[in-house]
Amino acid sequence: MRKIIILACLLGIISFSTQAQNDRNNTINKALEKGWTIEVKAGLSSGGFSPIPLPREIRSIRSYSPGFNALLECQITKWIGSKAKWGISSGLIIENKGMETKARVKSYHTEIINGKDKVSGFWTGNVKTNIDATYITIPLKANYKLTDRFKISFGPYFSYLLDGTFDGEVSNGYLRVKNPTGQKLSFENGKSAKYDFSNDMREFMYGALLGCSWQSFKHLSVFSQLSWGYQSIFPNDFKTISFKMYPIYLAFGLSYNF
Amino acid sequence: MKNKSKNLYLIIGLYLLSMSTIFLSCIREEALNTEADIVSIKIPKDLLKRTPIIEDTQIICNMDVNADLTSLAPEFTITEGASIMPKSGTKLDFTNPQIYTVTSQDGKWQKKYTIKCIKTETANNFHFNFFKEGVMDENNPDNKFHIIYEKIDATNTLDWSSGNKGYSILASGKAPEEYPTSFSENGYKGGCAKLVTRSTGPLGAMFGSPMAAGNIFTGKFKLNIANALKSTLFGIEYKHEPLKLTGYYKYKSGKEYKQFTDSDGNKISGGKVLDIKDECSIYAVFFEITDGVEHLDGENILTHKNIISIAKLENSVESDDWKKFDIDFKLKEGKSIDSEKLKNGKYNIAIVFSSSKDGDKFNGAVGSTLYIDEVQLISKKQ
Repeated sequence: MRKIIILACLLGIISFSTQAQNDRNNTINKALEKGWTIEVKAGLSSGGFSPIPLPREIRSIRSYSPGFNALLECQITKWIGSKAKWGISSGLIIENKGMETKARVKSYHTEIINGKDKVSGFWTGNVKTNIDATYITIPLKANYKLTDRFKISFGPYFSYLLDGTFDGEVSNGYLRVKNPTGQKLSFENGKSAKYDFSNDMREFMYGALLGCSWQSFKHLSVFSQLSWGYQSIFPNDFKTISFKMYPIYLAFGLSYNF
Repeated sequence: MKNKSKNLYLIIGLYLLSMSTIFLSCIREEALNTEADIVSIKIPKDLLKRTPIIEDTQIICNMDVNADLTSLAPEFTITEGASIMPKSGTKLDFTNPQIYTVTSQDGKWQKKYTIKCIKTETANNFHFNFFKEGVMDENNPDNKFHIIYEKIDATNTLDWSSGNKGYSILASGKAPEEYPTSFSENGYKGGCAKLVTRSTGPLGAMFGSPMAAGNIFTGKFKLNIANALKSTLFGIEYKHEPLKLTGYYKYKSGKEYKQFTDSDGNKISGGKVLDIKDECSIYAVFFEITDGVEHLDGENILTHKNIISIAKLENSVESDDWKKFDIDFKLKEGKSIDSEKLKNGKYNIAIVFSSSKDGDKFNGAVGSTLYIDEVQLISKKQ
């Protein structure tokens, strides 16, 4: 559903910008003269929430699908000096970060949850993880024009989680209740158990952005942006999953320059 | 112009390369094993009457009546890389239970196993008193439930089994009295067994066990969450021809009867309330052991082809006072007892009590309570 909303916004902005191309008003023209530029970017990103390095509990990754992650950014840049080589930009990003992975793990600490009840322990077997998070992000970027058409940008970002899902299921293995010597609960023959940590996800996050864009036409650029989270998807006091998972996403898209 | 797009491709290429490196390349060396299980136990076959079953933290070995328990050297296989003390093959005196400690490969985890070698040969009339052995493993908060046992003779005891071990997973922090099976001081004479059908909450439902009937039986318990019915391994060696099962019971049905499995065996999510009373179950099954069939389980305890005779209380009643039951074993059609096999210990007896008759199918009323005391298994004189 969230993806559909973002897609709708995206289409809206594209049509708006097409419209805007026809009747750019004086305010924008004036802003441009003073070294301001405004861009609306739309893109798709892929990546994942990954522990770095991969913890030893993970024995193999059976499948990985980044899903469809939309990104929508409105960016205002103030170019500095007469040459306008350097600029500083900020704005607002609405983005999805999601993925689905299937991994084989050994003695991976987790909790099977249902309502208030939970069974924690060490899982050996298959784990399917589904993450789908929507963030509103404020970037703060330094921009540098390598050429008239090609620019790079970098800087920190600050994200707030609007809506997030972190769930999945375990199957084809066994849970040792509480600790590795606890009772062995075998999940064989397609029997599985679900887990859901959606309510434990970190709300505020920060990280770094590294991007580049190439102006293909007067008003249109292609861009790419790497977003590297410095914080795990879960707060530090969340001990259920023993390792940190950092969001690392790479976006490609089109940017409309006013 | 062309150069610039080349640059762009290069940068994109580098990005993709770095991403794939992060996500795919770094499966690290496997960590040392953390588990510390006894996987198998080996005792000379001629000393054993039944194949030992490795339960969560204990192994009960049913020994031949002539076996010398004072010097036994069981051999073990354990989790890869783990170590065991005393060492596999060490000669020990098993007149009393021995405790073995298994240490995991990474050295961080230990698991203690109690190994009991018992001789369960009884007189032809056996009286079950229901003694309380205490609380199993008081140090482990997961195992705070009562163990009820019988004295076979001066040295041998027989533990009753129950499903408490399975319930313990969902019952963190519960007192022994809150388990489905517990000991009560208020017996017909002395203490007795108290069986109560308990709810297992939403998590239990998720595991496919929305309720847990109190049960107590002769046999073993090895949790099987894929099929809860297969967790109860019914039956112990019995060398007499059983005639009657007698004893005293007191039963009250819980308030609301819920059906979680319909008559076709399909699961009913959330359960369906039926306007009926719960019933308890009291029965004993005498069966032959054959290759691969040393126990019956919840699926076949009343239907298996090896069954010779069954004594089953048909119409249980609700009462505030103790009621006597006196039930005859009925021979199955076409079955007879072979005296040679009887002498060689080729038959088992399973005595089963449950606070909900259909508790194995998760049909019953939470709160149904059955007290059981002074049970006698009366057999033919030889």
